[in-house]
Amino acid sequence: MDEVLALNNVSKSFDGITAVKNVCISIKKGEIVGLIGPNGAGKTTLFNLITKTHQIKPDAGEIRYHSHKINGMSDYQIARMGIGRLFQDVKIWGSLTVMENLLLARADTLKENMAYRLLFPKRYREIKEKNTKEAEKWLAFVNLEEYKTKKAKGLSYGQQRLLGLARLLCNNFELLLLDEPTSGINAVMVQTILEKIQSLAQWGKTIFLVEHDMDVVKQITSRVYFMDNGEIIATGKPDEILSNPLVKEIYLGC
Amino acid sequence: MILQLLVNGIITGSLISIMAIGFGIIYSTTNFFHIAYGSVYVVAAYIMHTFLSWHFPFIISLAMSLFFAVVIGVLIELLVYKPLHKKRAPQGIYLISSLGVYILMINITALIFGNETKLLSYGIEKSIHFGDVILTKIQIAQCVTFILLSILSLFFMHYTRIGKTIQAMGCNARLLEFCGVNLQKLRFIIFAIGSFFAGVASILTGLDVGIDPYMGMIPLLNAVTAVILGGIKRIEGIIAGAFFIGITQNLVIGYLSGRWESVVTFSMLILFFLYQSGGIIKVKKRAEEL
Amino acid sequence: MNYIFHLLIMIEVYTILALSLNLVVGYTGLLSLSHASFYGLGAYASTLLMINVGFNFFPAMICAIIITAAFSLCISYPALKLRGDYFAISSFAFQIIIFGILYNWVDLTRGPYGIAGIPRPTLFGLKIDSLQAFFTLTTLITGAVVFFKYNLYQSPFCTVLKAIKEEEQAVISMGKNVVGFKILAFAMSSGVAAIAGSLYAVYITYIDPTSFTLDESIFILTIVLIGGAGNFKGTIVGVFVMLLIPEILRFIGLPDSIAHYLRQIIYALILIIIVRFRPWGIAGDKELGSV
Ligand SMILES: Nc1ncnc2c1ncn2[C@@H]1O[C@H](COP(=O)(O)OP(=O)(O)OP(=O)(O)O)[C@@H](O)[C@H]1O
Ligand SMILES: [Mg+2]
Repeated sequence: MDEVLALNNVSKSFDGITAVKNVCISIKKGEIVGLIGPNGAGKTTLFNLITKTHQIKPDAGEIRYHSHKINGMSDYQIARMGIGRLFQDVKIWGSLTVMENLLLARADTLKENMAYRLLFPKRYREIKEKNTKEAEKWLAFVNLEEYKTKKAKGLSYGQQRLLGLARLLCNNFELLLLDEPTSGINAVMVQTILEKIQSLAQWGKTIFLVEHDMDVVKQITSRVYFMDNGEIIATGKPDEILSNPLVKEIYLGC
Repeated sequence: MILQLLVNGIITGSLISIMAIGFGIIYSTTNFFHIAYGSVYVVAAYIMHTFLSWHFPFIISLAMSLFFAVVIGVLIELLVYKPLHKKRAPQGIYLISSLGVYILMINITALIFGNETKLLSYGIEKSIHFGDVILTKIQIAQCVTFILLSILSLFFMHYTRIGKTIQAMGCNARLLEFCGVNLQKLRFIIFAIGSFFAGVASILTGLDVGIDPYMGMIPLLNAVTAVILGGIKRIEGIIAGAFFIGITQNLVIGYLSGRWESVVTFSMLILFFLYQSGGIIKVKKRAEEL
Repeated sequence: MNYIFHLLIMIEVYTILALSLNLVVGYTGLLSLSHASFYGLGAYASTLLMINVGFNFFPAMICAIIITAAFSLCISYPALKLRGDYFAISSFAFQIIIFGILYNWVDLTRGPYGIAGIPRPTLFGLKIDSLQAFFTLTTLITGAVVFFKYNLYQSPFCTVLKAIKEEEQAVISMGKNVVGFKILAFAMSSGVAAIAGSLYAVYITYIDPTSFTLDESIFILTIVLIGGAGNFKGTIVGVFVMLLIPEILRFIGLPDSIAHYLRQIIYALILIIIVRFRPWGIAGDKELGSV
């Protein structure tokens, strides 16, 4: 009913190597769901399939977002539907300033339309102001205000990740796919981020995140999928999964 | 008339095939457009011309020409591409350098030899009649060479170790590196083979219609078109692409005019891209499948 | 003095060409080898409109811009959805096709004979006939183009292009139609090239296909590479460098036949050396990155 994301038997192989195999996933509105698994399990590939990053499409199976089939749509349309993505490798725009990074992320494409700018200068300015305000809000949230006018590539790795997160939040996505949102970020900041993620979920956003830090997983997720070799092996409450003997053997090494 | 056109098409196709097989080997493994390939083609013909003008026997001139074609091909890789490779330069940089090498070699050739057409063989070629179809000896040589070379290259790619390694490199070069294959050495071999094919195509053409410094561009683009139409990876596909182009070109020559030959060929390339991207006919094909 | 004016006019024409190509090569990161074909399409379109239809210069130029921009879709629409390098090769093929059409469609373009006697433009009933007047006209138009480009380069539109060049996937993930942006940028660049073409046609009053060859495309590309990708001032430096080389060769007094090849050899060497050692251009800014 209020199912936001549904994957049905999704498979994908590269040159004969199966990276994702018969994956079925179902996520409801407002949930925070975790995706865990060893390196190379296919987690990032699964996200790529959902957002069609690098034009990757499933070999078989279907992906539905709010019961719309999205695996035939083009990549940017999927994003416009409301699926946001935090990439594992930051993918910020290094030669632009921090502020430009955020402004660019605003969903309004109006501001890039030159004709609009000339024809409706007043409206254009309003939009611009609104965007700037929104950007500043999220900049404050990730504590990067002092870097506002700096080039983004001058930021540290952790700061770049924060910027990536802020960029994502600037855009009103409904489903957030976060690929390791806390890696490279200090413990205090991690806690703030987690709190914020939780409040996002309370506002009705849906969050699907890949995480290697089991404490984080336990703290915020309500459900976890465990993936190995491209297959979903187990799913359930975080505690259940983490005490699953198979998961322990494959992933936790004990 | 149609029969003659088809036969001419097959001959053109043979020539394009030879050029395209060489280009395809390089493109499928290195993944950039080796435009300087067109200048190797030109220089090979001029070397042949030089040796002939020094009164060397035909066969020695031929051997020297092919030898130098191979050497130049490998030198381009060594001096131009290898340093870029080390810097992990983006594809566009290769293409621009390659273009630079092409212009450089063409203009040096023109500076030395002038830009008028020169002949590689003198005297009027005796033609042979098969019913309505007329063939010259050199045209038969072109076909025979093509058949030999294509069989040889198919055999090489499918049954020898180096050939298989080259095919594997087209799929995943990184993996090969992990398996301990010396990629640089392999690249030299690939450039040597490719340049050999350019040399052969060049001389077979030069013997027929003469040579000039600008003769390389159209065969190069024909080869590119054949490789892309034929699907890049497989030699069989490339040959099919080349024959398709050859026959189309001759039909255009026969029924329209020789002037529209290259316009039609390259329009086909663009139409093919349009088709691939799902433009005119709604066939959803993925870019990664190309 | 006339010689200086002539040189300045040509510098202005090439400034327009190089700035417009830089939008594609420098800002969007697409390698285009067909800029001369758009230059030529612009020249032929406005000439034919003036001669065959009787248009005035300015309406003809505006139509030429639109026609040329529409032609750019032939390359950008199919190729941009496919692999990156297919764009370069489509533009290469397109350059050959357009040259072939200009050369062979004798009924329309008079083929290799070219079109002579192109009327000089009139402005408010004033015929722009003298070199000085013409220089004023080109300076005004070039100034307008430079102003337009300068504003464009500061605009959010160009910021998106820069972002695309840097991290395309991230731009897509923000819901922006990247292919659309590229197609638009390419069409704008081609349209501006048509301005240069129209100016060239009415300035020289004679056009033939040999002014719009692949060599010419590569020449313009070299200017952009010298100037550095996405670099405004650099591009203008590039224009001066590249246009003064042949003049210097001429002063040395080499015979024309040798000078022609030598020029090409110098251009080729510049091309090879720049991308190898200074991919961000001679006058470029390393910060802005390479092509
Ligand atoms: N475009 C591609 N081409 C070929 N193989 C790929 C491609 N993308 C992913 N793979 C392969 O798919 C497998 C899964 O990779 P993926 O990046 O999804 O793992 P992951 O679970 O995200 O790992 P990590 O925890 O390290 O991020 C890997 O073996 C990888 O080599
Ligand atoms: Mg991953």
